[in-house]
Amino acid sequence: MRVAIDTAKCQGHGQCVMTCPEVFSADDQGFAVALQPEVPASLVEKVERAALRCPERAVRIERA
Amino acid sequence: MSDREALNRAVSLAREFDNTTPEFLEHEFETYQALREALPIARSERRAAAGVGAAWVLTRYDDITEALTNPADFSNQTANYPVRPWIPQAVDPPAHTAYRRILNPWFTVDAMSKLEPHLEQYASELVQKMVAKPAFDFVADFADPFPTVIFCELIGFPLGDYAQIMDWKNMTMHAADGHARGAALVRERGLKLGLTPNAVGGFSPEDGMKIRVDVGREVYAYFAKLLDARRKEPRDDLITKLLAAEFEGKRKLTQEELEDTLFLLFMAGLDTVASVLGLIVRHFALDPEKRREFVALMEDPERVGAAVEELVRFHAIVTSPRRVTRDLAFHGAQLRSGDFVALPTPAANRDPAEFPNPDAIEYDRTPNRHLGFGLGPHRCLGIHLARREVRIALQVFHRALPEYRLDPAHPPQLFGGMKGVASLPLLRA
Repeated sequence: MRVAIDTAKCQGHGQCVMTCPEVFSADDQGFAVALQPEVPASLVEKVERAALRCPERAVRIERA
Repeated sequence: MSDREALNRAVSLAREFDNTTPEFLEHEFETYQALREALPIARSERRAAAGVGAAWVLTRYDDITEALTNPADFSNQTANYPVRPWIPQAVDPPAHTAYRRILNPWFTVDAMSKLEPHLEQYASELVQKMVAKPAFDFVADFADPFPTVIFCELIGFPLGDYAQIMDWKNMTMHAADGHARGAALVRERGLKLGLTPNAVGGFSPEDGMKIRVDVGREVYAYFAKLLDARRKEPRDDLITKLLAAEFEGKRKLTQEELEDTLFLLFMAGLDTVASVLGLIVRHFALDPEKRREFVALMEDPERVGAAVEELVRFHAIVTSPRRVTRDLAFHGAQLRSGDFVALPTPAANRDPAEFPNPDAIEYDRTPNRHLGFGLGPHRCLGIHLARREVRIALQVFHRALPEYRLDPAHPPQLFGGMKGVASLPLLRA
């Protein structure tokens, strides 16, 4: 699984950072950054939950 | 009810729609549901009569999110600001983006996380004092001072001005929404200005605006004084940071921009967390089972965050106004340039198409893309502070007093519009 932030949509709500800090972080403006675009199997479930909590629908998940 | 009756009822509800009264709150979600099902983009004559042009009320989650994320067609330049529009709330992109770039770094998760020990300590101090009293008011003793004092410290308003600041806020935000203190202060100010109250003790929209302008000038003069003081003697606060800030890295902010930004921070920071906390604790006083369910999970770091989000979904307070910028076909409705659109986030947050079983609090609800903090470029700047304040306030209060009930002799006082609770006397259960 790969994950990316749609920077045109992200407004810095921080839901992904709160839900899965192993994969998401915030830049100095508070917008989300995906630290590990390649999601390890152990974090797949958390990343999916982060995507479901993003009100802007800015967390993009791609499955191989 | 037949479809035809449902439609006719919705047309009547839309015509009379006015969510700025406390009475509206008695049938708030029933009204939003009736509109959403039969007339999700509703023309409201009552709102139009209040001097805002043709007015529409949207109630579907999808329509409200679409409007909030399309600032080109749905502008924040909605007039009706006393003295001058507030920055960045009343500004559209691209200037809005430049102002937010100045403010965003001061309100990030990291910046707000550093405040947590202080939030805990101050919340505990207020709660200890409150529960030691024989009778207490959750709003006056806790929900009002907690976020207000924290915000005053952050911006740099002297704490000695607390009472004055609350009065200015109440006159600006709660002149005519059922808030007793706001109405009394506005009446006093109106009489001082030589204005004549109407039969019910309020003022005409024109006179109401004169009062808001008079109060606004006073607040602006206060800001000007504080800005001068920080120019001479900088401190570690947002007033000082604003003075050093640069618009697009090119120029300092003008005196007017500085004051208009402080005005927005002032209005957005003082009221919102207090209102949400008041609504949640009133709900908990009436629904002990939901309260106990929260108390049982509130120390679990894996669950408490989602639980707070769900409470904010359930008790969202903001109805965002927008102005339509061009003639626009919007899901079958013909909107005209200049029309006013009301976007009630409480209605969006109870749409069953987005939130199954929307009128139940489900602490682990996923997905939960609620609009309690808004959406799009104008989403709440203070989101990370507000979230922490709501969580810490609920934890600290319920650790000290997990069981309580309403005081039957002194029922809570609600206000409409940017809704909330003006007073909430509680008794130990």
